[in-house]
Amino acid sequence: MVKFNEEQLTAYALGEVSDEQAKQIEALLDFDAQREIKELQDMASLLESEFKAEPQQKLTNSRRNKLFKKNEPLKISARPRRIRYLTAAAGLVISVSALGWLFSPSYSRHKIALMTADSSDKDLEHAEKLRDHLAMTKREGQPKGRLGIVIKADAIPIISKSPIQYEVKVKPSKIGMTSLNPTPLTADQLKTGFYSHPVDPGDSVQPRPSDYQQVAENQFKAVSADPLSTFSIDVDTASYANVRRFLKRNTQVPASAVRIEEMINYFHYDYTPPTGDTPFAAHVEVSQCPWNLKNRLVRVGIKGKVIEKEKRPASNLVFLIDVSGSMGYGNKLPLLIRGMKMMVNQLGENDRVAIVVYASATGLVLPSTSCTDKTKIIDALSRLRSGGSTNGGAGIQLAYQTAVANFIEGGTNRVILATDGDFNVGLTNQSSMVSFAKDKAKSGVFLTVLGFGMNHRDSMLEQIANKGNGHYAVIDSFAEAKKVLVDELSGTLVTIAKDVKLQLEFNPNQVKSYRLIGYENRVLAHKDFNDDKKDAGEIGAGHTVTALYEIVPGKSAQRKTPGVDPLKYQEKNKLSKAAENNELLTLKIRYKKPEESVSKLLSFPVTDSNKKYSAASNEFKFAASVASFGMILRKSKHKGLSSFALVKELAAEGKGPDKNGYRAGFLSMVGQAQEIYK
Amino acid sequence: MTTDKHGRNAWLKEALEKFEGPLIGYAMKITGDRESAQDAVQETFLKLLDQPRSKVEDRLAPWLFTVCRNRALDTLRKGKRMKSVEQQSILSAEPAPFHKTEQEEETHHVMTLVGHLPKNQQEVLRLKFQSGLSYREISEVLGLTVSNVGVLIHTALKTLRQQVK
Repeated sequence: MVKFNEEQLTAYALGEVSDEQAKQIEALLDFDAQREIKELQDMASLLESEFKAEPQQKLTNSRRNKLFKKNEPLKISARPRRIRYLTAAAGLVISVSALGWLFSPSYSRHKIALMTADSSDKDLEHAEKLRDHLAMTKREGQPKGRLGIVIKADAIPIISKSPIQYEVKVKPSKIGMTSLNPTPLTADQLKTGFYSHPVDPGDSVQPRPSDYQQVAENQFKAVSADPLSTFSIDVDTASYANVRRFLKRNTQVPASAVRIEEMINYFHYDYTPPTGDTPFAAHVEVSQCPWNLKNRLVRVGIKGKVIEKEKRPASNLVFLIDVSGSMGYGNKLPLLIRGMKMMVNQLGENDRVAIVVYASATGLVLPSTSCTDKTKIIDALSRLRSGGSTNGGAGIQLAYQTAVANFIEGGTNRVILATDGDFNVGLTNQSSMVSFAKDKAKSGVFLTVLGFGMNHRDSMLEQIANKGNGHYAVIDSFAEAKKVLVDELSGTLVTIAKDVKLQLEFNPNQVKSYRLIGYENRVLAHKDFNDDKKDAGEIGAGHTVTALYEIVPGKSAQRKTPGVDPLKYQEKNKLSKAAENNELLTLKIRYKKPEESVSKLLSFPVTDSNKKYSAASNEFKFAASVASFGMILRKSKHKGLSSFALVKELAAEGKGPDKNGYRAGFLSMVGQAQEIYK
Repeated sequence: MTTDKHGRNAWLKEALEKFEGPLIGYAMKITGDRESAQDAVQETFLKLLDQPRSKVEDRLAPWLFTVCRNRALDTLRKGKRMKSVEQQSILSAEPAPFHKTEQEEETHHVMTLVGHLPKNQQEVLRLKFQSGLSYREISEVLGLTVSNVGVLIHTALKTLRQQVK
């Protein structure tokens, strides 16, 4: 049966075969071979991280000085250690020195990255001539070569990459980071691939504290004081992959890296899709709260309309790929490229793909190309190499320009940004990136942000995606690349409703207090619910969104402000007639259709049928399990009876058919966490 | 010309930043001592500055490793001749003598296992996984065929996977 030999399989696993060979091998892969590949890649990742964790020596200063002296025979080498070019404003004269640098051979790899799909060696020669020419003659404006390289004036690089970012700082945690103080791997860890995670030197660094935003947990709120709860939906899943990554490293997870709603929404839930015209269906389930048996747990489940792959509207995708040096590691660019190749194979004649890369310069390496010409797209992908420093700012502008230039009315128009988030030059300020994304969202172009590697600037990427009408996922393995780029293709690409906001009104006769679990950075002011100018989350075709509320049941005390006398002229707040019925709460949803700017309102009254926990659905149990796990990791004071044992029990009961094995993956992750948090 | 100065220094800086660590590590595995490894790497970069950039820019990594390897082997040969020890190729399939370290105790640790592999396998692993060279680039550095490299890497990974299981 197997028509390739073991060496070829190894070469395939390491990405060392040509596309043709890859195709042949892929056609023959059986389950065993796939497992073999996974194991090989795990071992490769382990080796990569271990080699990179070796202490790196530098040349002694005297040796180093000798090199620079030789390099510059005319002058005494008293150069500042860091060279810094200031970012020139767009449209300003590009100085000869900057241009020369831009095309300098030090970025040879980058230059390859800038080649168009159909460029050949001849083109490369041409590029060199162009470079020389530009270096000789002083020119103004934006040069545009035959290669379709677009150079933005504001892409002029600042070379200083702070040395600190390169240093591998190993700060042994309680558990011991693998790099300095290696924990012996158990056979089981190696088999399950649990140690395995491809790392770059930055990855062995503890996350910079600034990279994760501290999020204060939502607290219980008294219904008498605040009967409304308003928030934006969130379909991001990044936090789950981040948490998994920490656990794989045998490290405790910093509380700020845990966003419970993203963990819950990492999973797909089996909710019935809507019928008719409404873009989504809401399913509310109320049952006993497993970690606090006196309380009730309300699960709000939303299911987007399912659009079959064949009926997907035409799509115009612009990949914006970070090809800076730090993306070169196996767990970043190569992983993305493999995932993208798979994705492109799923696309059809109505779909267009363009590729913009950015590093020290920005380039359109593949103009918008129809997916009838897959070879061209795949070729362009195969040519991508990393090199240079990052300038996310200029790249994102070019990507949006490309998306707008190829805009498909009624179709999916989306920029897909793939980065390790190391924006180290240019428009790197978080707020300027965020406001740029926010501004561009008005153009009708949606945004997906894919984070690679451990060290990406989590909070920054999340906010950019959030403001850019976007979706944020972290890709840490080939399986994850497949999940995000292929399995969820139809979901993340076709936005069926935008600015989706939820508001729950609790009935004071039934509920004393409530707590929204997670969604801390998605909470909206109540008045924003009806304000169509306020941005909120998007929902894709077939997507599910789940939110959990823990509520303390019972009749609310009458509203009064402590320490203040009762009012003389006004009556105490009276409850309306509606409060007399048995309704627990009313769920209201506001949404806009993707191309519209006026929202629609849906309203669902919810009654608690006093269901016991044992009668809860699988989906309810599983979501509760993930929430409980998240609370343990966050060391939440609301975790109640939550324990790893409870999490496992709930997850096992709620696992269901688990077609893709994601829930089984969760269970094994919980097992890992249990070891770490022992 | 300023352009040239900036360009040249930027190039050198970039190359150093990216390669000096891996090169020193690589050379040390050959020469066995820090000073001669530093020398070999310095000489490699000095030689690089003599090259017309257009010649090397597209294959910088294999070029650097090839030169560095030759320098390091030269040092090793000279040293060995002085001690009149028989010249031993780095590509010999003998298991390498590996320094006893505290890590030795952790027999499960994968780097310890790597240290027990034949030296030629260690070398390809280092080039592949530390420095990210492709099979083709490694074959250039070592003067082997691409399939030789594939076999070495495959064998090394296979051994490691068996040992850690």
